[in-house]
Amino acid sequence: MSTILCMVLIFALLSLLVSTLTEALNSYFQERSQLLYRTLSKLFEDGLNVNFGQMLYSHPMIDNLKKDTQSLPQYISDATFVSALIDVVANYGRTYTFDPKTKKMLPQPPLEAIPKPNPVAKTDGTVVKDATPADTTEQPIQPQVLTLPTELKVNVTFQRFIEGVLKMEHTPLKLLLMNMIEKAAASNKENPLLQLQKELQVWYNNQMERIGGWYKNWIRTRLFYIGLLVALVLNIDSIHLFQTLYRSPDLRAKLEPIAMQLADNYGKLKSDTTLTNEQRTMQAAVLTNFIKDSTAYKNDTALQKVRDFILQLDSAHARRDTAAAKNRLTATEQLDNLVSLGIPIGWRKDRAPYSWTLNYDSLVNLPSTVPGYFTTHLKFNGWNLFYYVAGILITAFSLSAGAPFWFDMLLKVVNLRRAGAKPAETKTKES
Amino acid sequence: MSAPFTNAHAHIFTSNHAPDYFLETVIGNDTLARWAKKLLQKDGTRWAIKGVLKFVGLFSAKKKQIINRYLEFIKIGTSVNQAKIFENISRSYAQFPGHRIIVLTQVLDYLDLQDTKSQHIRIRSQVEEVANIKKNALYQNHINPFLGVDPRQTGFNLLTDWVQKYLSPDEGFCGIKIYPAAGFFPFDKRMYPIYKWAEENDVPIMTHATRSGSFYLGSFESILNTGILALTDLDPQNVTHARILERVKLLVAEKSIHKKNEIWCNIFGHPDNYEVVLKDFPKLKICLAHLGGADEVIRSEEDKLSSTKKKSKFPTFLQDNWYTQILELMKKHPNVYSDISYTLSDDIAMKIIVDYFTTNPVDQFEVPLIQKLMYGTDFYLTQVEVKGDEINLQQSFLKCFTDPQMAKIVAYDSPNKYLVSKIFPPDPPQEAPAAKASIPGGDTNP
Repeated sequence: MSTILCMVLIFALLSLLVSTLTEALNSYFQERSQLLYRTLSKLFEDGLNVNFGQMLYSHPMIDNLKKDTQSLPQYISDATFVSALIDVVANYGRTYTFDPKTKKMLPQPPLEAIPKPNPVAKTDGTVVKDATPADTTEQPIQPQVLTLPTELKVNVTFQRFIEGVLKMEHTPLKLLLMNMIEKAAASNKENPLLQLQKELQVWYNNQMERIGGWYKNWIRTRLFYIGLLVALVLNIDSIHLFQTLYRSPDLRAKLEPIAMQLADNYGKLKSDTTLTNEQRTMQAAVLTNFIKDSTAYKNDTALQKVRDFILQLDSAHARRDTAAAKNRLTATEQLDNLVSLGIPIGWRKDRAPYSWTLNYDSLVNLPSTVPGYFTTHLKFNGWNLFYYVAGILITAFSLSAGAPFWFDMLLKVVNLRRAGAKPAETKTKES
Repeated sequence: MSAPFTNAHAHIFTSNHAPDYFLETVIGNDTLARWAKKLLQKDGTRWAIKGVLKFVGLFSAKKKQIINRYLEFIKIGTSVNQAKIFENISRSYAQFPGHRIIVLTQVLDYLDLQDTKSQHIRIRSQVEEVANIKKNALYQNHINPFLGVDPRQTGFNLLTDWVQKYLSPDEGFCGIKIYPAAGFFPFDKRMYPIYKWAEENDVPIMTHATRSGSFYLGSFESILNTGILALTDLDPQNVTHARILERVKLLVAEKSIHKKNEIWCNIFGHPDNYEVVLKDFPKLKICLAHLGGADEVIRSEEDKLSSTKKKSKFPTFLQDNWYTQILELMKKHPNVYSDISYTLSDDIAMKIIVDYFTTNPVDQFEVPLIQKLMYGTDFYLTQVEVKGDEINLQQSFLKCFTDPQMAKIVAYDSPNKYLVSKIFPPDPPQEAPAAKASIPGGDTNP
């Protein structure tokens, strides 16, 4: 149990590093924004019509959310989406007339004279303006394509939206929008626009929920690859890690109190609903007191490089001064402290697979009482290679579960440990 | 009223209007291309590359400049908004009062008919965005959009629901852009109703006429066996038709180039193909852009130049000179135009062109050929060239055409004549003095 507890502690902190790295990369490459853009484009992709999803990004309300010409907004609220979409479709429905005298293209009819929103749509989808003038903004319309109640009161924007939809080529997307119009008109005859907004909002939110699911799946894959990279760069072989912890009671004795403290801090933060899962894990790591043992090992240079990389990404993304970025760095520093206690992480010549490239006898610094497992582990053979590759893959796969998973696991294992009786004395297993 | 300074050839479409596999034209692997796009569209990455280039002595100054230009090209191409790109080019012409820029929308959706991703049709959004720019009072007097047309567009009537819809004063599109290298022949019968309508209304057409650019990305066999090669209507007895048929026949036999799209796609854009169209529509107003390209221009004078002859990557049957053929077409047909876009970035080619046009060649109707030559830059695709900046190109143009009268014809009068149609008739003559342009003589009526 003690070994498992220590393993979970190490995985929790490593997954924090992987999550931090993933988050920094995602921010840099605007993955969330790109996914939102692709999803909105796909939402309106019917292979024929104007892609309103792409057009949305030229709408001032969304254009202004961009940081620069290359970036995209990370998040679009449902209210903003609905407002911008209605405008975009309505603008698509507008007709313009070129005035040869002023040489200007003017929207027709002029906005102040619009109160005759009575286009009659033919069955072929083309809109024919009604010849009879009307003088109110609210008036029943009876298009032939759309089945709308005769007593329906239509305002200008709703009318424009209908014109925009009717201007589209006939595709399932057009049908979807037409159905939305009909549903809105049927359920709220006084203010169909309000109902249409609700319909669109529900549609958008449903899509966003699906995006959330896609993003989680996608992020899992990315976490695996970044986990694999971290495992290789920091030389984290799970099998060797387990074997070392299993055979080193001193090391476990150093790690156990840290695991308990970290679990306690995380448990306290669990009740704080203002924090996200990631923020909780980060805060818990920051709050935990890791005792650095500078005499045991030097800080791992590879880990230092990973941290520097995160720092660079953050600074490139202009996030260096934010509290979140600071927390991320402090949390990864904690891992550095943990490594200083003697966990077998990093590339050293007295550690496999680096040791495989050297003559075993040249490893002069090896203690004279090196136990059997460690001796054989330092030499190259087929089994050791197999275990090493498996160990790296296990690390990558484990880290892809994400920091919240490992912190929850830590909490459970600590609770189990506290519930069960602590062994009076841990026997040495090395022999 | 004198004509305004006009750039007859510019693009503002972004990578969002191209299929996802578009970058494959540059980078062979799809995943690599996706990551390259991701990386290079970030300011931070480009800044880092530029920084590394400054300190690393691996590359020569010229190569560093080229890399920097590629980065600039990617920066523009990956912009989210076409309006921002237009603003960028329009600002370069602020010194020319009332300047006009012909913006060419381009159908990029059918670059690979076998690729399922090509079902994502993006031309409508590209066109609608440009239509909105045209409606913006800030730009509407400066932008002259051309509508991208591809015979493979389906789901609606290409003439009535696409061309006639947008080519109207109320929508503001004033010409048609075709890009045969994307995988179709200009004499494709599906284009004929459009040519007929364009000819009747004097509507200008712009086509890509160089061996370089972007090409159809699918396999040669995929085109060959589907009847897309609209060759059945060609008459083997006709000399031009026979040449085209022979070219295709040789291409089918030359299997070694079937996977080299940048070579075999030459059959689509070959100047001969327009001879077929122009036989059926002799008054069609069409601009064979780029004058065949700088390489072809230089090749036309190869014997006179001291430089050693470059080995051509094209097989013998594709080595005829496009520059001279385009000049022949301009001489033979009253409404065949060309422009100096992209070619303008090559000083040697420009010298040959200017030298030739200085001799005042005329067409068979005794009209000087220069009246059918237009200034254009091919913005922003020229960003990859050492002198490809818009301002640099303007300066190159003024440096090449030292005779102000010639410069005026190329940058003012020819484009003006080209753009006039029954849909956009010329302005009635006015007595007001013309706006002064930077080019000496630019305000003088011909």
